[in-house]
Amino acid sequence: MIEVRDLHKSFGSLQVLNGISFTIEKSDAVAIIGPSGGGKSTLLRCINMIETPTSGKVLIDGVDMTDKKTNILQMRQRCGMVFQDFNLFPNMSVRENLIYAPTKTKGESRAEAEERAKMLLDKVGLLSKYDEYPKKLSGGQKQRVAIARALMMNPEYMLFDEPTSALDPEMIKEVLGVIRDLAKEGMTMAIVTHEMNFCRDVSNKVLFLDQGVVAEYSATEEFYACPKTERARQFLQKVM
Amino acid sequence: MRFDKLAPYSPMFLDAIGTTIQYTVISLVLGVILGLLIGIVKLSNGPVAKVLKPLTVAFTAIFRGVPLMVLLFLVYYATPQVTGIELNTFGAGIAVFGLNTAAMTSEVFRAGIYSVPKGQTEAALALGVPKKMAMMDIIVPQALRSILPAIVNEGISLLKTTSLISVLGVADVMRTAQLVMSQTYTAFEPFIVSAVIYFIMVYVLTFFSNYLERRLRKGD
Repeated sequence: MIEVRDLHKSFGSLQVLNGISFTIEKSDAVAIIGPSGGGKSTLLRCINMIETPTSGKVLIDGVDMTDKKTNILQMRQRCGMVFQDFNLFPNMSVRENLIYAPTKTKGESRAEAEERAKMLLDKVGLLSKYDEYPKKLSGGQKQRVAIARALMMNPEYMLFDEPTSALDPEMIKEVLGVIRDLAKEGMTMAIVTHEMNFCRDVSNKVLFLDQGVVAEYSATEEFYACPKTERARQFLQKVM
Repeated sequence: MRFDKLAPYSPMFLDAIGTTIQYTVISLVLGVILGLLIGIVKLSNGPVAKVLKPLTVAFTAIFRGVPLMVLLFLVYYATPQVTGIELNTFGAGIAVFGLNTAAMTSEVFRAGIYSVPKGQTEAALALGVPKKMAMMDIIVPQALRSILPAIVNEGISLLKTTSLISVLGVADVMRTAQLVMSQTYTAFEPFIVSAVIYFIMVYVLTFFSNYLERRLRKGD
């Protein structure tokens, strides 16, 4: 369970998050949507402390991420993240990208990690790219490798930060397919997305973020059928 | 022209090449390692880095602003006077050339590391990789690729700069040419030989760097 309590984040004088509170239950697939500049990505990045919140708390299974005594590296391993621009390591092959973190930080043996890497690449349909370098992959392939890389840590949670925003339309589908499969397997996840159909299809909860506050947090069907707030209604009208 | 007059001195020139290579390689290795560390300090915001940062800036400024010949004399002749510690020519040379290389390459490293996209660090952090490990395994290798030509230029310039050590009487290529001149009463031949030796060494270095660059580029 991920609990966010009264989270604030500002960059200099710019207030981005203005007191966010919500809970992600086990096996939830929460879609975080809302207008640009509403703080969606910042919120996601505050959950695994890639961005340090100005105030407020983030609790993952009861462990306070904002506490200085928390082993933040260990907690991040339980909480995988996928970025908009993939961020594969270009100096490493696909294989090395996948086995790097588990072998270096968890002491997993090379053979074991490689075995799992093959399995995960197979799962995202890219086993043939095992020894390829990222430069040779298309955007959609890069993002699927990035998802496999995050899964190598056996995370209990996955954070997707606009995973398809940097992709050509024909590649969006293959990436969304992988995320959909993960959701079906019961992976707990939060996805910042602009893909409204996908959001409706895959998420069970929608968090509508506007101007740094949670304007609405409700079950997906409910949200699409009849948004409670005027702002959410207007937003849906514009994007659907 | 009487190049044959130089034949008896070829063992001297060979030794001299060894000396020049020795000064260059040791100073370069020490300088690049120290330069990398200083470059990282210049980019860090940790508590230790905050204290060290002004020192690194002053360090770079000194080596940029004072001629190496002056520093060489200061270190070699003035250190014993001030501290009572006698430095041999080797120690003084390595210290000055190594620190100079560190000062110059620290700026190159700083710029190179800064040019690697932030997302690379973030991706590593998100995988639970400690920051220092991410720096050494992911950021620095990527930075190296773009700055390798600049580092090699620094090495080439260092190789030529080591000829300054001749003023302390060390028999490097330059000093050897001078010695041969005074013994054979010819100037053109020994200095042409030393020029060709320096040129070939630089050429080999350039060739090696092209090879390294190609290897580092396998990712793109």
